[in-house]
Amino acid sequence: METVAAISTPNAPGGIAMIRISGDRAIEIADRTVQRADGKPVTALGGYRCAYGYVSENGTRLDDVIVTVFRAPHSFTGEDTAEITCHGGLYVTRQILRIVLQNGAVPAGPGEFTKRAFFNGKISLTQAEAVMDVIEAEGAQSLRQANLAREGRLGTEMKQISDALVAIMSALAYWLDDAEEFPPELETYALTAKIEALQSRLQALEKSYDSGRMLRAGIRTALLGLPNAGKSSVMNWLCGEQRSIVTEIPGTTRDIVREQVKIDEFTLVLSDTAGIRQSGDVIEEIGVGQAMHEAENADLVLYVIDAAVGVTAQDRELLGSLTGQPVLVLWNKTDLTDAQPPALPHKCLQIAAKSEPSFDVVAVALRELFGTASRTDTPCIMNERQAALIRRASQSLTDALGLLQSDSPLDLLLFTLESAANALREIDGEQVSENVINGVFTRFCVGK
Amino acid sequence: METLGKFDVAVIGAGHAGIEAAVASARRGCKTALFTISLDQIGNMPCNPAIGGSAKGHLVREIDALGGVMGIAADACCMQMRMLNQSKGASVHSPRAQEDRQEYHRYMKSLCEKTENLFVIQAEIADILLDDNGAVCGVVDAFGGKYDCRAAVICAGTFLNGRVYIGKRSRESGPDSCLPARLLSEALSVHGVQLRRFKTGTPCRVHSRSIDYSQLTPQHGDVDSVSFSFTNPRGFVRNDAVCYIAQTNSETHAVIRSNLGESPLYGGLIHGVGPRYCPSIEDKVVRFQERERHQIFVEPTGRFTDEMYLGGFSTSLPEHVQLEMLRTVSGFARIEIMRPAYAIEYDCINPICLRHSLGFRNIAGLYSAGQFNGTSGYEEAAAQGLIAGINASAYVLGEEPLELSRASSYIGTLIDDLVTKGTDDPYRMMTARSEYRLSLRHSNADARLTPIGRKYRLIRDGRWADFSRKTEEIAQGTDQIRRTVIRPCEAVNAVLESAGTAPISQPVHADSLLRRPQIGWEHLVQLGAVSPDSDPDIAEEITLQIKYEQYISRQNQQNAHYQQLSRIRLPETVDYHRIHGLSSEAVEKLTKAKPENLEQAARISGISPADIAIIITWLKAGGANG
Repeated sequence: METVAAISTPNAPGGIAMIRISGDRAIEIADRTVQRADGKPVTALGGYRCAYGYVSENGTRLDDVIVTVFRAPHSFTGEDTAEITCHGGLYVTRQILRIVLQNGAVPAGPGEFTKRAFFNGKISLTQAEAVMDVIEAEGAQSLRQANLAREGRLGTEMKQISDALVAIMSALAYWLDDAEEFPPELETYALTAKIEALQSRLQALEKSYDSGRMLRAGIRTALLGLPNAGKSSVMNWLCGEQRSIVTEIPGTTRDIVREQVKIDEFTLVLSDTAGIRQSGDVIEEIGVGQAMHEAENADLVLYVIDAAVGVTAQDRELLGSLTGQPVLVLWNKTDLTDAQPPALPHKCLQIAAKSEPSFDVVAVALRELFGTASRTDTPCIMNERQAALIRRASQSLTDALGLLQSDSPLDLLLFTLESAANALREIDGEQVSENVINGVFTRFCVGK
Repeated sequence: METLGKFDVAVIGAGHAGIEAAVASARRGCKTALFTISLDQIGNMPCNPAIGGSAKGHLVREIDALGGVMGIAADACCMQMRMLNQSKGASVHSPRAQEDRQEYHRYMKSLCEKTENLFVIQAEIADILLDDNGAVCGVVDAFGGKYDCRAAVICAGTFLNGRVYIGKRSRESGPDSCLPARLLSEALSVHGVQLRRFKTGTPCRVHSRSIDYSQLTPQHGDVDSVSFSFTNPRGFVRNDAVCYIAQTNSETHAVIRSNLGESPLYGGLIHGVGPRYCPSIEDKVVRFQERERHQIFVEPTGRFTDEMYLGGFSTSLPEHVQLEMLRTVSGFARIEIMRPAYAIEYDCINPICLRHSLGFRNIAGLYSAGQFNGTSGYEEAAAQGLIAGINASAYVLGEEPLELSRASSYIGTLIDDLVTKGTDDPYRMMTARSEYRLSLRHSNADARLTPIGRKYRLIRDGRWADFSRKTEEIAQGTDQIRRTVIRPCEAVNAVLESAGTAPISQPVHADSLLRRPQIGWEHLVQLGAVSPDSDPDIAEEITLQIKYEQYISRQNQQNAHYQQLSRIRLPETVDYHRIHGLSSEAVEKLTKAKPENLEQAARISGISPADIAIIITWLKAGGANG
């Protein structure tokens, strides 16, 4: 059985979240995902043992986690299981799941853990009945989702790519079936070009996962600026209520405050970070570190500058260090001064957070930055499961290109293409093999 | 009615399916009758004089591995053996043999006659008798003679209400001018078996002296040829016959186009569904207009006849058109037709009414195999015949039926496709039909199936000992390669470079070198990793196991989900309309297919993982009971 993983806590923000991995490779995958703080491998843990550690990506720590190990058959599913408990942010949890999937797990289907528990004799019928409602709900939900996906742009794109694969596979199946004539489309260069083109379409889909996520979960927005530039009043302006404490004492806002705001068609998930300032205060140092970390992981940075103070050297340094994502500079407090902003490498909006009546300028700017993501022409990947299927398809095409390059036998090539097409059609349950065979008969003159 | 005999199993029809069914049943200890309309047609090849070919060669090897007889007979009567798809990857290599069809008939007739417990009887079976419980209790012939039996296997081929068409003329007939079986169809209908019409066709046979071979491309057998049967060594079969390839041309196509009105198919006389994979020449010309030529395979039909078979040229156009179009082909200017091409229409079932045992769902003791089940091809027929014969005898003996999984074999795949999806046109096996293709090589059919054949008492002691020895040698040889370390040195790297692959700088295990596409067994011999005088079959098996293992493990992992689902049975009484949450498409498809377990359900096109999850929920919530 493949090793599966899923977020097992409700798909909503919460205090903590848990990712469950189950299957033969569960503990090994957990080990590749989590670095224990004590430096020992996760695989060294016995059943029912847990350890503290970190999940990192490219050297950046995503979250502190607790990993708990269950050894078969003493687990819910009866298989080796690892559970990674992390802090409850949806984004971080999904990031960790993505890493778990990259490390070799496949996304669990609806009710998969319960299914496995049942197969392995871990739960009786009566016990199973208790969880039935949940699975049924999941099943029905994913069915609805599948139907949506089937009709949606994503479904169309996935179908088009798998149809193109099926066409190649039909030609291969024809040729592998003692064909009279070699189909010219199977020449190595033609095949390579075709598969590469499909590969890049899959990669575009993979990228669109991020914009799809932004549409659904909102644009992660970090509010940044030097102390007292007016970040909290910007926050209050955007949120429409007293959420952060507005005060004249620099450094009042230490904890990150999150808020969702809707500006026209956009949802911003705002985090107001501590004013950035070199400070001797240890507590505030942590806050500053968090703020920069928050900014690095954001989809958008709103950088607040006090128009009365102007652009300081520190502002320039900080703005210079923000390279990964779009930045909107908010030239704040225009109600108090006529000072005009200097030329900056970022779009600059003039506002007066304490008295500004409308968000129109922000909405216009957002539309410029994210317009393509919202009124999208690229189909968006809806969920992690679809994203994983697309990644799996893409990986299979990479394998296929490798086989073509090394002049490997065609039966192996057909297999890798089959894996890719199957992944793409997994959501709607369409049987690829039947389409391939129909393709052979309709497109080629077979038979003696 | 007079009772003429008492048997355990009655097999109706002595073609490729019937022979396997009868011989297996008899060898397993059941007193078996094999009925045929003509003793002179046992094991007849009314179409191409060949056995094997792409995917079909796999089937023959599997039949042999299970203890069937087609492989041994085909080896004995072989005139030319070739391995197809040599350059396309080991999993699709497929042996194909040109056969002496008269000799094959004689061989099979004699084999049946000499089989203990087997009684070959010339009779047309007209009815199947059921007892008060609706189970088979006898068969009746066309003259009223009654034979008691507890199980019957229908292997009627194209005989049931057979009608032969040449042009717009037709007459009731079985293949090769045999009498058709006119009575059984009606009796089956009375028993609630639904019949439908399929059609197939065969090309003409021409006289060898009328062909100018200098205009044709010859095709010879392989030098080092394999055998179908695992009991025969390499190079065992005779391999001296020559086949030839001719080509149609624009003139031929023009003759066909101007005579389409003469075709019973295009004229609407034939309603039977023809095979998609084996189109008539008029179909090919109409559907693939851009093709300038089509190949015609000129094949000898036997050593003691001058009849030549024209593969790829089946047609139902009238005789005079057949002659006219053939004469346009280069090399055929003076062609003499000996048997005209014809189309044949016949009764068959939609196999969805069968279980995986090939037993009817609604009639205990009744089994069927071959073209009657909607397939086409001698090999597909024989494969089903073997399983039906094993299971009819298992039914009589009170043993567990043999149901081969898709993972085990092409035979299992064939039967699973038939009984879960049914078929809309005569079904032919293709390698593309199996998702386990990479592990279903023709050469490892014995490893996959001989233990099963042994369990069903079709593998004798001597053969079992040979098989066990071979298995052991393969395991040891594979293990040895995995443990052999090759160290980098000039001699080693010279071998690698001459093979066109990168040299090594670190010591490596021999198996990792063997996984490189450029490296074969012969290189391991040069590297001193294996002995130069290993048995070539064993060397090939080891090589392929190592080369394919990572792909096969991925293949199996991808399919593991299905295997797990196969353990959950679905009662036949499930009312899918009552399962809350299923899409109406799913309800309709599942109601039609009546899957026996969840794996079969999941394989139905359009049934999504979410549908399966909902069915599981429903089953576990006790849905099937309430």
